Amino acid sequence: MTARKIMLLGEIGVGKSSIAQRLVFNRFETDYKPTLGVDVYTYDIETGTDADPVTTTKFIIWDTDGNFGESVLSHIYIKEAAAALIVGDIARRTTLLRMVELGNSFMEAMPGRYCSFLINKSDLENAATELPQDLIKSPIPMLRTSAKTGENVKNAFLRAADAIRRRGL
Amino acid sequence: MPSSEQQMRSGDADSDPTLMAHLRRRAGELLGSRGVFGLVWLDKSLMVHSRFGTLVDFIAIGEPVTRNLIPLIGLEAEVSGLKAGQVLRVPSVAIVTENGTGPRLNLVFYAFAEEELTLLVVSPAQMDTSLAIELSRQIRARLMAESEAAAKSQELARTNADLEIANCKLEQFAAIVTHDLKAPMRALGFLADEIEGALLASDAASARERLAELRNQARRVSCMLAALLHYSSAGLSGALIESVDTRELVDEIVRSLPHGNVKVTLQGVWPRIETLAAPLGLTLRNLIDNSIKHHDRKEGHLLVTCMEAGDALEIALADDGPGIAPEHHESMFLPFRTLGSAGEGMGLAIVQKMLDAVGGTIRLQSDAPRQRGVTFTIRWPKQIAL
Repeated sequence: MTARKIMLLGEIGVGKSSIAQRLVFNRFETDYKPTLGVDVYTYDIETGTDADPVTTTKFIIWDTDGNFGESVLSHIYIKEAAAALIVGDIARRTTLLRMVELGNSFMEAMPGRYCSFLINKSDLENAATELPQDLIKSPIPMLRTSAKTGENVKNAFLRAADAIRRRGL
Repeated sequence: MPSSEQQMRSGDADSDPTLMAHLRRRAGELLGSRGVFGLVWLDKSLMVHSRFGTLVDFIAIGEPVTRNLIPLIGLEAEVSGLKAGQVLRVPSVAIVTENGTGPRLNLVFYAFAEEELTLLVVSPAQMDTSLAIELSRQIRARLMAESEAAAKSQELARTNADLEIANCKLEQFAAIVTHDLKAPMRALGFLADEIEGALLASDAASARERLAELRNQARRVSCMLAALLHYSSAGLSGALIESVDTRELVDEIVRSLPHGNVKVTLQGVWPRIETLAAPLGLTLRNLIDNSIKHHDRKEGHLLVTCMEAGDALEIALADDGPGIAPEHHESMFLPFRTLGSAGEGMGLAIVQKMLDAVGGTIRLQSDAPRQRGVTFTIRWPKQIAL
């Protein structure tokens, strides 16, 4: 089985750890525990179509400290990452704006790697802020997720796995 | 302060290499056994050759180091490529499993010129963890509060803008009502004076005539007040979302209105939607009634077309009546505005009010007197937030 490294990036408190926990353990914790440094998870994900044989990819998920900001892109942590999922909080506009900056920097630092925006906390629809134009116009694909309900969480990783396979990363 | 005996022993140890080596080994054993650090020796292919210290007990000897230290997956080339004297640090890493988060560790690799093996020193990443956690919590709480405050201030600005528009409309409404009710009220006063004059002059016929006029004016005021009441009560209060067959709704409105000389035709796609049935009915009824009432010929035609336009229904009502001159287009939606003698001039004002309430719009197209006819096009949102 091939192992691939995937980064969870984004501002502090946007729900990166919750997304990892939902994917790997199918649970959601309401108590906020900040990540200091990195927490590393493993998750085996199957991809494939009728035309392609099913393949299993072992994801090594690096859930990073939100305080790193863009400095994470020059850190040893990011070495050999095949993909990054950049997370923002639908109710906090500043985190959505930071996503675009992080996404652009990631694409520049790691050309050819897969990158996707996750607009998290979609369950908080009432508190949702208007998506910044820069985010809407960005060529980086976007997905609304909710670690709380599980909406699109697995889908986000499936898309990443599929892209990694197609791109031969 | 160390005692003189301790100082002497320390001095003795410094001068005795065998004792020093023993003490160092003993200190290393103690620190290793208490998990202060762990040592792992790796060969060139990153297989675990040997290890020391309880902190690294979970790393299996004879296996690739990545088997138990998964964060090193992807960093193999970096580690095995280390040259003598080089150091590689992977700080503050924790492995999370179903059982919870493992110890947060600093991983530091050393390569030596004289050794084939690479040394991995593992130590707990204490670094004032509780302080850092508290700091992160505080930062997050502040960020959350900031964003909440920003959202509230945005909401407040929106409410203020809405309020300003509402105030503006209210002022406009009050001015219109005052102005339009003033005229018949003034007429009532004049007529009363004239009746009094006629009675003083014992002119019964003239008094009777003025009395009939006074009754007419009083009736007009009464009608205006009734229309005003109707306008004021038109809104979404108590309205329910229901499944509405839009074609059936219009058919029913047409059936219920006297439209002798005007033929009403329906065209387009009339879907069934979940919407506020009564406000939609009231809007369409007023528009259809308006076209029929103001038609000035023996025979006329009203074409009502419906089409789906994204998140709204677009309903156009095109008649071949006298039309509305461009200079009256804007004022037609104000209360008491009518170009003919029919009605109180509240129909289009009610339509505008309903559309404002549901977030819809209305467009008026007419180029009278150059061309006959008027087309009202409304956009009725399919989803209405109550």
